[in-house]
Amino acid sequence: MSKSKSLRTSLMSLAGIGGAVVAAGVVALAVLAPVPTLSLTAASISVDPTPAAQTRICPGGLVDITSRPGDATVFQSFAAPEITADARRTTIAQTPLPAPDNAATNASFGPQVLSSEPSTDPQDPALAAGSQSQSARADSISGLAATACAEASTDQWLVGGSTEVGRNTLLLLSNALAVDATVSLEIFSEKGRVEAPGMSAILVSANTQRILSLASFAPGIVDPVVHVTTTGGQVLATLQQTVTRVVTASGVEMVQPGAAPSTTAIIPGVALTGMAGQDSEGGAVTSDLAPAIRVLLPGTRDAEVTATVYSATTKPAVIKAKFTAGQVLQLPFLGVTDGIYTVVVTSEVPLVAAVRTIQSPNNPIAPVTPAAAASTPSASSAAGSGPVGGVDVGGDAPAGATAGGPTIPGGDFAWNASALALSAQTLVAVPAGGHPTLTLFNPTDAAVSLKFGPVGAPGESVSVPAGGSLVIPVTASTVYSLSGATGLYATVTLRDVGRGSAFTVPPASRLSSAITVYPR
Amino acid sequence: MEPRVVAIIVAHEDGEHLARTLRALAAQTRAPDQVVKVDNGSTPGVSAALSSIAGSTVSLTSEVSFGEAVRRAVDTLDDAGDSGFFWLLAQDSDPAPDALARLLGALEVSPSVAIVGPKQMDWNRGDYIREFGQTITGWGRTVSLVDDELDQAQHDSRSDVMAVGANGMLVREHVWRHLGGFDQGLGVADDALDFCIRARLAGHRVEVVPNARVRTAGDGVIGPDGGDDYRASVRRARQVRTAALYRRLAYTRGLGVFWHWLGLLPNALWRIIGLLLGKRPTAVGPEIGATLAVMFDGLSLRRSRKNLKRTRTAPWSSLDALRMPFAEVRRRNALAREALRIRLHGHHVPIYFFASGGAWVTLALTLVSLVVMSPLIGSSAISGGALLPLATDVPSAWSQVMFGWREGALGTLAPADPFSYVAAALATFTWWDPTLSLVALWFIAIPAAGLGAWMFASRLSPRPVIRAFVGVGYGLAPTLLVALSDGRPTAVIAHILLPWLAYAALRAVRSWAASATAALLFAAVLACAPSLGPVLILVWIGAVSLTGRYVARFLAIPLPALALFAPIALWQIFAGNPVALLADPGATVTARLAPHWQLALGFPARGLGGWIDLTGSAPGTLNAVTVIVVVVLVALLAAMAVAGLFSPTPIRAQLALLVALLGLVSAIAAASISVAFVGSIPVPLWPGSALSVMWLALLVAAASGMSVLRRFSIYPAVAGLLAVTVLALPMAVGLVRGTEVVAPSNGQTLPAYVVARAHTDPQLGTLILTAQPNGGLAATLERNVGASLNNSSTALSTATNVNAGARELATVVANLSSLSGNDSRRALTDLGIGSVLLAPAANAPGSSVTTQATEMTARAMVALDANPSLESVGKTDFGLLWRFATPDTEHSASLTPSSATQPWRAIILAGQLLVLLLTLLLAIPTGIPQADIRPRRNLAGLNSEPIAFEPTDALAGGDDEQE
Repeated sequence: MSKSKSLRTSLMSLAGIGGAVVAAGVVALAVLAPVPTLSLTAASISVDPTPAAQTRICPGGLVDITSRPGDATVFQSFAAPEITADARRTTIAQTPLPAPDNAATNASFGPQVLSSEPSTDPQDPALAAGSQSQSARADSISGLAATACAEASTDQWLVGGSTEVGRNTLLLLSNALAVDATVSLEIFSEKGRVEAPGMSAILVSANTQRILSLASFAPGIVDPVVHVTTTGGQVLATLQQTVTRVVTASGVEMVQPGAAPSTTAIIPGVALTGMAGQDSEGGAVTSDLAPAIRVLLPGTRDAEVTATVYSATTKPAVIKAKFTAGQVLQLPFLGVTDGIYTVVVTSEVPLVAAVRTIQSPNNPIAPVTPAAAASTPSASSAAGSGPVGGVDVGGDAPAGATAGGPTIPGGDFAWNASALALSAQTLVAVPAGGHPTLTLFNPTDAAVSLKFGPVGAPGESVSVPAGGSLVIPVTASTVYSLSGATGLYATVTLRDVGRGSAFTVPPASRLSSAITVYPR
Repeated sequence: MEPRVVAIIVAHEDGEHLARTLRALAAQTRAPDQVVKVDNGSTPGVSAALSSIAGSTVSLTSEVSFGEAVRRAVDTLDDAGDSGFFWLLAQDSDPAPDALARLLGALEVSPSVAIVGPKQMDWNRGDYIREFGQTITGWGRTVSLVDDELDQAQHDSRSDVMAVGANGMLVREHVWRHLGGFDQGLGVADDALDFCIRARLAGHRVEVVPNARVRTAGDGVIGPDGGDDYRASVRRARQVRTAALYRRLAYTRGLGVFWHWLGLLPNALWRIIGLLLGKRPTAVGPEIGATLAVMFDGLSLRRSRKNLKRTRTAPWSSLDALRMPFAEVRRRNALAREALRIRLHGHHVPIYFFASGGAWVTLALTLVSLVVMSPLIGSSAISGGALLPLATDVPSAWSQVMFGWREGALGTLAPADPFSYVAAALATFTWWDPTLSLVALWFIAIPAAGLGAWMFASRLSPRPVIRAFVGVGYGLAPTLLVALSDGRPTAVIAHILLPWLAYAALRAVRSWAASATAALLFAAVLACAPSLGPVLILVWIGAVSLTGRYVARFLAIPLPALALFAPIALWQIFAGNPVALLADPGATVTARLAPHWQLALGFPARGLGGWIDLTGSAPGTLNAVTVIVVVVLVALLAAMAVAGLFSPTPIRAQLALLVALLGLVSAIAAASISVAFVGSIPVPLWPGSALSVMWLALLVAAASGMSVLRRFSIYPAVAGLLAVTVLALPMAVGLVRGTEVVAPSNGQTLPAYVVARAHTDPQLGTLILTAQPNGGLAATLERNVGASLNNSSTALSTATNVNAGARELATVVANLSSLSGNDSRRALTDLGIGSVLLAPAANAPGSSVTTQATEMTARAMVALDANPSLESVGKTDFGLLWRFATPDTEHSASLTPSSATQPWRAIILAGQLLVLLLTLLLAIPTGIPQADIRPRRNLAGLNSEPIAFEPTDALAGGDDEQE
């Protein structure tokens, strides 16, 4: 009996141990073994939205501030700008945009809307481009101001302008849509953010341009930066800055919106002239007689900013400075000779930047390729070599040319905004005025070759080296076509003696690309 | 004249019964003058066996009823007039040696008696009376005068009876020929009864002879089949019922037969309801078969009625003295019920709910629930996680259970989830405010789960501490607390219902009502957690194979679940996506699921229920300490479970551990399967329900391990109680502090502006756009007040194909969220859209919002702002809202025509409701003890083997119930 009982007990414990081992084994296997996952994919469909009519807004003729009996400040345009525009695979219709703040009676003096119907083939989109330029020679305004006719947007940074004594900056808000837009402003200065009433909820009615004076919000600022945000619609924000020294009108410029805050700002096409006469000690630039790089860190962190000046021939010149968040500073150009450069501003935190150049009537126009950095202040008529490292298209103005028109006693200045990367196909509209050049900058590691030529004509192949720039002299009042320019940054610079302007080439809008929709 | 006795013996099968009968026939003291042997049917050995006795043989090629076989035998005889007697025997009639002598003596003594019958004794135990005369009640139902009694001469004073059985019946030949023998329309049931009644109506008498004995084995040749298996009982029920209905139609005088015939079907329906309520579902089939057979048997009925009319001389009232009075019928029924109840309840162990702590456990868990859910007290709706409000009123909730156009999509015709039935039932509980039932569910979850587990444990062990351990351990299960804090109503309901399902399944062994309840609970659990399907089906297969003779009660358990799942299953299979059947119903939300080792510890979501972050420190050594604490606690339970393997009856722990491992494997598999989507983000199945199964099985195994110690089981039980309580503490504290996902809300999923507009026009749609991590855009179209638990549909959340309606929606969305040349006004009007809501960008669980998603949101915002047809309403709690100024819902009604839903809607609804209603009828407890638990053959003390009405329930170990 005990033998069978002990046998039973041993069998029981054996079964128990076996069961325990099996259970532990299964648990270990379940926990440790890799389990294949079964994951299906959601139902989705990629849809190309119906292409919309592209609308580009030309901000309009230069606005003069006059006074009339009964009205202290009247904004009035006095002449029509010259608009150069063309399109591929579509046509451009130009309609004036009503500007009730502008007292001009002639609609062609005011802003214009260039609209073009989309092409029917989504694979072969229509392209359009336009730009305007105006050369003024009045008592209150004189200078050359050119800008691209750009598309409206909801978030724009305008780096430029000044509201010191003698400097006028007007904010032009153009709304070409059929919905009203509500605009809010943020203004930064060298002392930080500017708080003033009336900067939010500015109503820009549908199909209207409003003109506001920046000094009504922030008077007495040497280097303002304006951030324009729009809800309910889209506007094109532009600054028009005029400078008057004593009684002489000393230049006018249209400031375009630059790129959104980013850790790298690329500003091509900076045409410096008269650098030998500049005498910078290396501190921040406060005078608007010297070229400067205006930089703002719009975030909350302070950081160090590095500005590098590139060109095709010279060594890059580096300027570093420490910046406080929210305060605008202007960096000088050190050790840089006359020429057309590309300025790249980098930092750890996002920043916005733009470059102001000065065109004095005593200095020649900036050469396409700068001479090597010379210690001696060379005379303005230093023999410039022919184009080096670039293709001569259209012919350059002979270096040392002094007069291309009646001289402007006061001089002029130009604002170069930070550019946006281009897509594969772009049209560049070069407006009338001066000796225009097109500067292409390639920030990538590989050289980019593209086809470049006027619209309708077979283009030529040009190549932009990696990390370098290419300056191409172009013909005024012509629209050029670029293909294969993906990832490049481009600016059109107009050079003349005592006059100058520049504007970046805007890329095609990405708001109409295909969307993958997950419907349920 | 010399009486000529002809013994007619009908045999169908060869065997020991026939051999013994023939021997007894040969051994009669008064041997029959002639023997006619009828070879009734097919087996070849019969003729050989029958040849052992002298007499003529009638060979029939096919099997006929007993009466017909006798008629064929009689046809071969010539008429002997007054002095002829027929003695009817079958293959299993074993007459005593003096049987024929006594029967003949009785007939010779009384000339008015035409038919005499012997006392029929049981084949194996000769002193038990099987049958001794039959009669009918006042309404014509057959009643046997003596049923399975020990013969102590208590009935020997009987002489005149209404009828006798055919076995061993001695009948005068001229009466036989005059009456035309047994009725051809009746089978083996009631044929002798009808013959005797007609004999009485023709003026003769029928007697029983107490001292003549004939044995009967119930082979089914003469008299109904007496077998004790399922098929025999069904066949017997059908024979008896057919005979009863046939006699009713045959005996009705005059034109009343037409009314009786019309009333057959309604009567059958009424009786079926009564049978279901009386927990005798196996009798439903015979009832229907009998009704149909009698309805279409007009020829036989006419012949019977003509025959009766021809032979009847006495009035029907002459039978009244011999009918069984109703008082006597009631008395017999009461005695039978009492005997049955004693047999059933003799082994019934009461639960002792109050005495063994069940009430205390429930009370404690209720208090815990009130404390833990205290942030929710006073709120009328909760939201968070996968919690959606219920429908606004009860009719709209119930309208969602039907096949039709699924809301929340553009033109998708799909079946409803089975969960919509559960959601509609939830909405009906608090019909004045349907969403309140979710709050109530959150409050009663812990005590209800604990109570269910306690009831289940009460079947396993009588010790209060062990029962309390199982109850508290399951009520505070980590997976339940995680589901409560993460807002998973389907997982909570499944967790609550699981132990009740197990309890009902255990009771189902001996109770049809419990089997039907288990079937309904099975359907409800599966509806709430389809991912439990494989586990539950495996457990069901195991149960079916282990129960043995009561398999019928388990076979039907999945039937309601099958009826509910069939439409959606077929739809998914035809859509090419059968795995999507496992998708969780209700709202689809992303979740960060736990890695496998945390699943093995019983926690479905990441973070070990707050243990890992208990010290609030960054991942480091302190977190490792808390993890070790959790592992130790769970290992304690596992150790007790493993200890159960060493008990003398390890089968319970083995089965429980097997189910626990199944649950774990199923949970890990569920966490790796993603069949549903939120936009573009795949959502894995919620493993918590499988972990509920694992936890319950683990607790049961631990309980059986504790029982090994018998008297000292209190120590491990208390240790286990403490372990499960400590395990649940961080989660409980988190819930009390209100830091979890679930929070009181106002029960709306769309901005108040949209809800207000929906009151005036319920058909108005809201387009909800959400940017996805890969830069795409998810678009949903919701009507009325938005998504609710009732109108959620797995057919939509698991869709992998884009149909035409979705394509149209996608085009509208793409044009709305781009600067497009398409004026969406027309599309918005056609679709009946009134508002566009741009929700915040979605992020995959565990990562932050991608830059592509932010860009897409910005792009959509710009495009919607620039759209002249849309006016901006502003920022709401759910995102940015735009309204369409001129909405028009006239066209949108044509998108979902109700004509397209027929006829499938009616067919599916009718089928499902029928199955559910029948199961519900069977499940309603009516207190009637089931009459078919023990078949008639097994008499107490009769058989030598032990009484087999113990449940063959493998989980009920025997040892600790004897303490």
